[in-house]
Amino acid sequence: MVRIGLIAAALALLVAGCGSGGGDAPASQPQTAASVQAQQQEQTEQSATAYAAGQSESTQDQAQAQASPQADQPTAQAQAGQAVGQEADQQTTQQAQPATDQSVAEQAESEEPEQQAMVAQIIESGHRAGLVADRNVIGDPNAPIVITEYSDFL
Amino acid sequence: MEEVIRTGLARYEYRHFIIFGAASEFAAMATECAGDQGAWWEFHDEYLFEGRARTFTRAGAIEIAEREGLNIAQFTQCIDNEEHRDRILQMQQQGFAEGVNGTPTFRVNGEPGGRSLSAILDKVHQAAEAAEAAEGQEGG
Repeated sequence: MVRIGLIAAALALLVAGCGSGGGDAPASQPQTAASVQAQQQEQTEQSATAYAAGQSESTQDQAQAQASPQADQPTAQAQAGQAVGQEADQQTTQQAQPATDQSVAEQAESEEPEQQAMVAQIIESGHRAGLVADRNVIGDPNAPIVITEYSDFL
Repeated sequence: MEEVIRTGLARYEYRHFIIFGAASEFAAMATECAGDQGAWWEFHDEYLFEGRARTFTRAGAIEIAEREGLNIAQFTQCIDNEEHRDRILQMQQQGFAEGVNGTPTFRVNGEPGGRSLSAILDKVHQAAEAAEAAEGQEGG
């Protein structure tokens, strides 16, 4: 049984070797787990970009919707966190979301500890250290260098 | 980081960049409303670091506002009327304009700032050196 398994494995290796062909095979062959992971990461990044692009459109839609008379209506929708340009937003988001929700969340999870630690360090050394803070700004408003963090609470 | 801020060399700005939809947008608006009453960073920290605030709901926001001793009537009026919606959209647009497509993203004077604290500080020091050199050229 073991011998049959070994022979099968050897045959599989031979077939794989013939199939891969070119000079780059050694680089691409042995690390299947790593390459799959890299591919997944690449897909995740693409998805995140796609989602952000969807958001961009929806943001424009929202801005347009705000300029419309409907935007004057009272918006108790805030409770549900709904935007005024809801319909357009939903359309755009629905297109982008199904494939991206999970991948964005996965990316956020994998990067979260390190980046949260970094953000925490910045905050610790910023407003928690008693430096002048005004709304979203810490430090001298006239400082020549601006460190900007674009972030989402979720 | 503290040193570069304390010495007036740099300032740090947090900008909302909504990628997780309506709940995130609501949290951003609530934070801005808290900022009207001087509690911007308290809300920021609560949302970012405290798990219990992760519901991102109106009730959750009011609970934090009560804990922080804010004027609740003023706060609820602000969130219900989405008073800072434009401000948040503006930040988002700025982000897109600077090429931001994920979070968190750091920029130093509008240029990519890297994804680690040391990378950011390196960029700050490079920017400072560039500024000094430019001043030197103007002066001499």
